[in-house]
Amino acid sequence: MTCKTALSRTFILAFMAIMTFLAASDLLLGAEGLPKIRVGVVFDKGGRDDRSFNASAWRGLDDAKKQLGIDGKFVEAMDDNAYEPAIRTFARKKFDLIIAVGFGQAEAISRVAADFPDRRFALVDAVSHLPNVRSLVFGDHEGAFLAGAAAVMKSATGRVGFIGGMDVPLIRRFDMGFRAGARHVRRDATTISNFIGVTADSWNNPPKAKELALAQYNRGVDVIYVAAGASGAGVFDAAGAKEKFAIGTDSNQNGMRPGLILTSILKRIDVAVLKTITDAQAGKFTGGKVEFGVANGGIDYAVDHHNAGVLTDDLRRKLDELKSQIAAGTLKVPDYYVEADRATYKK
Amino acid sequence: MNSIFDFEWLMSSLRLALPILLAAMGGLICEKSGVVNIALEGLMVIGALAGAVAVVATGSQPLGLCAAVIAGSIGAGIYGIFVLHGRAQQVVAGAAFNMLAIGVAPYVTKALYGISGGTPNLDFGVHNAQSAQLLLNIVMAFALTCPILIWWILGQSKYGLLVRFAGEEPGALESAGVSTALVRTGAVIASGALAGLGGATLSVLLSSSFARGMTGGRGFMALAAVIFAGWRPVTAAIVCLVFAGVDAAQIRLQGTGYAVMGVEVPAQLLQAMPYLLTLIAVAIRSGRTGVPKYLGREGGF
Repeated sequence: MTCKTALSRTFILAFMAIMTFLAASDLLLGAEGLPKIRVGVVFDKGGRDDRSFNASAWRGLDDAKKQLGIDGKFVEAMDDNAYEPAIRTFARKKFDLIIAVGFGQAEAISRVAADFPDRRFALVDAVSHLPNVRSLVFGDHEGAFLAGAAAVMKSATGRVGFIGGMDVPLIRRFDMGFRAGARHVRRDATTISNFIGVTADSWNNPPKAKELALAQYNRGVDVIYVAAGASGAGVFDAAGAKEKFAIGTDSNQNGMRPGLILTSILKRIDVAVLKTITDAQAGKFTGGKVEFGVANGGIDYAVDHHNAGVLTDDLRRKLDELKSQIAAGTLKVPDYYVEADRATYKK
Repeated sequence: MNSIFDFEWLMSSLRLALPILLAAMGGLICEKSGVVNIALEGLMVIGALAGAVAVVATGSQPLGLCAAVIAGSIGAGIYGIFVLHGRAQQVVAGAAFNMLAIGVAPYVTKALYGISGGTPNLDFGVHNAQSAQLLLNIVMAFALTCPILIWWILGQSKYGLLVRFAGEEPGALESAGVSTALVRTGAVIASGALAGLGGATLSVLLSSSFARGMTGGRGFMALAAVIFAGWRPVTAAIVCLVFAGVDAAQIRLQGTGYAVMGVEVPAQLLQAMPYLLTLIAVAIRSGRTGVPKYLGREGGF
């Protein structure tokens, strides 16, 4: 009996040891001291290959490796508590530039950046006011506006839908832009908005996303714009089942259901990441906020052989016209982050 | 309101209930034999992962489901070794098992595909949507008959009697010369097979990829259903269907501006409904009738 209790205790200890090893293994970084600059990237919970948001940042790192010959390493944070240790490990290992991807990392990067004032940091999708942090922010509302416009132009019913991941201000910003875009094209357009959930699981719940999409399609919606990380795949499954359209987000997702994904709104995090690394390598790194939007190519829509048949020339001409109006400032897209605009948004 | 509770709602409910229902049936068998099964969540993760990996490797959905059943059984077998042979505290071992499964999944996908977020997209829907639907219907039919089957096995068959004795009077079982540990091992493995299948429905039938954390607490909801139902299979199935029905209604209510007495119901409240319901279900279950007498306790002697 005592022997067996001891045995079970050993088993549990072994379990825990394995767990710890697994958690730590991502942090065990090779640290060969090469003369070229070293860049560390911390992805958020969606993981490097979420085929969406993180994937776009990853492409930027990959481009930098190829074009600039930098030494790039990355870590995928498993949960909220993993951000700070991951960023801190990079800083301790004397990485020249550390990039944190995702608004959830704002607090963690600010804490580490304050402790390492001589290291350079970059933060995607949120703002940090420390002088050694460059904040890379995107005009997501502008991209969502284009999605709303494209959706209504393609729609036969005049009913279009939005499916967001976690119900947070960032995703509300997408929703608000989408609705504005839809109404801009057709005053009487109906928009339906759904959110997958209120927890971080929402980014990884394709079955639920699929149910939401099926419910929207059944209500007469014929184009759905989705901004939900890895859950987006569920919306594309529903589009396949119902043979209706969807619009992808952040990365080019057109190939996930060729012919049914009208377009993907591109958030060129890769461009922002590559530019930041280039600046750091050339010794021109500066802190502060850098904005990417339709005007400077930070936000765009994807055209490739997968959607060439469905996103007609006429549609593209109209979208390009909207783009130039937004870039010129003659068309103002409401922004959920701006208080005066938010007041007009109806949840 | 009428437009919410229609045929589509029913189908949506059934689809949402499928993974929870299968896991709950697994958990029920296991607990009836006297073994606490907190590990359902982890077993679902293993099933979801194994199913998706097998589909990527073979391109066949049925093989994916088979792989999930086998992987779930093996996973449960490991859990069984700890709690039955090693006599580990069952709740602690179950929690550790969940953490292990959740931690190992990204490790496996990283080793196989270089991605820690999940598996690549499973490419089958485009070519044979019809056979995919047929398979879903078959699994659905199995899941819906499962509670009745288990009710019959537990109540009428010799094996069911052994399982019930293992949970209620293991001493009597031992005196009759039957090994309680053996009966419980069988029940634990059966629970792994069912929970594994439940997990695989998420990645193989209801969507087309494995994503990290995609089980999202469904294993715990299944366990809550079993407890709320007082360890009765058909009642547990009904509880699962109610959970899913609320979730499906929630999905359809969202964004329609549904109001109660003139006040619009916040979307957040609707989204929290399934979890809230689980909580209430477990909380009001204070009587604890139907709990197997030797649940979580060693048998005999």
